[in-house]
Amino acid sequence: MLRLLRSEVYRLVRRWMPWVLLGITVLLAFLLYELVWLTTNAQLEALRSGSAPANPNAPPPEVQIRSIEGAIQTLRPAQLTRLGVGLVAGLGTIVVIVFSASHLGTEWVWGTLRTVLAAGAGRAQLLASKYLTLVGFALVYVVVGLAATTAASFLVSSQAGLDTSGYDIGVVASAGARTLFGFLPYMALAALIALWFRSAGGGIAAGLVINFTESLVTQLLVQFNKDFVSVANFGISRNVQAISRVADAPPAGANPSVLATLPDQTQAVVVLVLWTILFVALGFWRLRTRDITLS
Amino acid sequence: MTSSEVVLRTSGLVKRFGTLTAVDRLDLEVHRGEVVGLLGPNGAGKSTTIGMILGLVRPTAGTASVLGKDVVAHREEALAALGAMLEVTSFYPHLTGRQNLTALAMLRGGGALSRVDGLLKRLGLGDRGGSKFRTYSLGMRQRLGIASTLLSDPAVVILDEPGNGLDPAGQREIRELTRELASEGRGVLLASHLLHEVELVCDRVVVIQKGRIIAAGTIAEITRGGSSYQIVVSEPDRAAEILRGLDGVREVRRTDRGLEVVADADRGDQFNRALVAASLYASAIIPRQSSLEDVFLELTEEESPGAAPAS
Repeated sequence: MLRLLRSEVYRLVRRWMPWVLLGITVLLAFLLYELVWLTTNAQLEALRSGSAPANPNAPPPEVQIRSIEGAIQTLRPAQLTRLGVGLVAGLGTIVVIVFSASHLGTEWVWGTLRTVLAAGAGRAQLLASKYLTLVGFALVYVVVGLAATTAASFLVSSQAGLDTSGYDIGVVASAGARTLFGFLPYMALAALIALWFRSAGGGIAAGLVINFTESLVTQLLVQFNKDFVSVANFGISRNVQAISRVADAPPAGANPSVLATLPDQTQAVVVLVLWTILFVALGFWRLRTRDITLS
Repeated sequence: MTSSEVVLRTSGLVKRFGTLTAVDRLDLEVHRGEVVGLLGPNGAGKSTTIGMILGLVRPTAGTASVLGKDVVAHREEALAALGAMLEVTSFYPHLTGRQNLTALAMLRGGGALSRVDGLLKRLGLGDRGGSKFRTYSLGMRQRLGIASTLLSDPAVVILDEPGNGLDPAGQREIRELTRELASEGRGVLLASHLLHEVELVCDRVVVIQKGRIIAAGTIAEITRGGSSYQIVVSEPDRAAEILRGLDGVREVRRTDRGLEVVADADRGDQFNRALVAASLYASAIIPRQSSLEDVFLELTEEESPGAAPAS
């Protein structure tokens, strides 16, 4: 098992894909903070100078100014759980789906699964090493993502003359751990689809579609009929939302009425663990029972 | 050089895909120090058989074992003594040849890592070991595939179409390497479409069709039953009638020069006696030993595999 893991890591660090995904994350972190600062600051300047275009439906300027000032405060390092962690979590779901499906699916596409298995690797051990490297990558992603958003937050706060004190690394680490936990079912799902259909592209496409659709459907269910909340709360997205919620610091833009109907965190942990176990178990079963042929 | 120790054995190996029986009760043995050719037309079941030996394809029935270890029950120990080059050599395209071998050597453990550079040199890839696999020609891919089989210094080597994509010089090198592997005391199972290659390299051959063994033995044993004779005779039509009635004659064809008779070996004097008895005098009876290719085509073109000289 350790030999497999070592070989897996050796091959993985020599692929471009993980580095590109991490690079995009770092770039987006700085871009988001700069964009939020530049756009909100420009709006603020316009409102203060009275040069903002008149909109009869908009709230009074002083209300808008207070709202924008509040948004600017989320750029502060002390508010990283509201903006930075949200970026890492939101982008991360896409990144881990893409990466997981690719990590499993390319073995079929390249035909290397046969080569590796013929070299003596056990199927269960191979899949276990794949899952472990997936979790390892997700951990690296979260650490890099949070480091980048922290750096971007300090940089932009300095530019904006915001208070840079109050950064609590413990709170950020806790939020990072919750984010990582929320990735697990999505990673297991994308890997399962790629393995089942022997296709990296199929795993990526199906993983993303399921992710967006499930999130949308549960949202609609909850909005249109509160009775469906209990059903929706057995899905993935609402439990991920519940687990990601940090006390007293809901993500920027979160709807309080939606947050109030989210499952409690114990239920969220249990449901997410069950989904992950189900997807992983199906993956093991599929690989163990399948003939590895050329077709 | 061949020893009596069986290093690879399949017993009653069966694989069914739905209603299709791809491999049907296949019994095969490879001894230490010998090269066994596995022959058969496309779809005969060669790759499925190899897949079952490697544990890639699950047998419906029967067993395969390496050094006495069942490949299903004791997969790790069995495959530790086995190196296999598959028909389509697949490696990681983003890695160099050396990195691909290193990654596989890490899986293998033991002293495999220390063999990487030596194997690259042995297979003529020493100066291209640092190039990405995706830039390799087909021949280089085949060489890398063969190198990968030797990482664990295995007792059994399976080579599935190793000559694919190689130029004549490359094919000759592979033939020499195959013999070298056997002389080092390994058992080699060679699946190939290049019958000339098989004829030159293999100690024994096993011919399969529709998943069943239709012939097996040494090259001499296999080709002995497939001799042909060129007979130059007056009244060839009458001569053909007489020859068709003789034992051991399988086919008589008219040619520009007379007759071509496909029959068992050493039948020339029998033909001569029969023709003389009918007052027909042959001016020439020229025996021609069939090549493996002749026999292979004859065996696999027959509609009923059961009628073939299986052994």
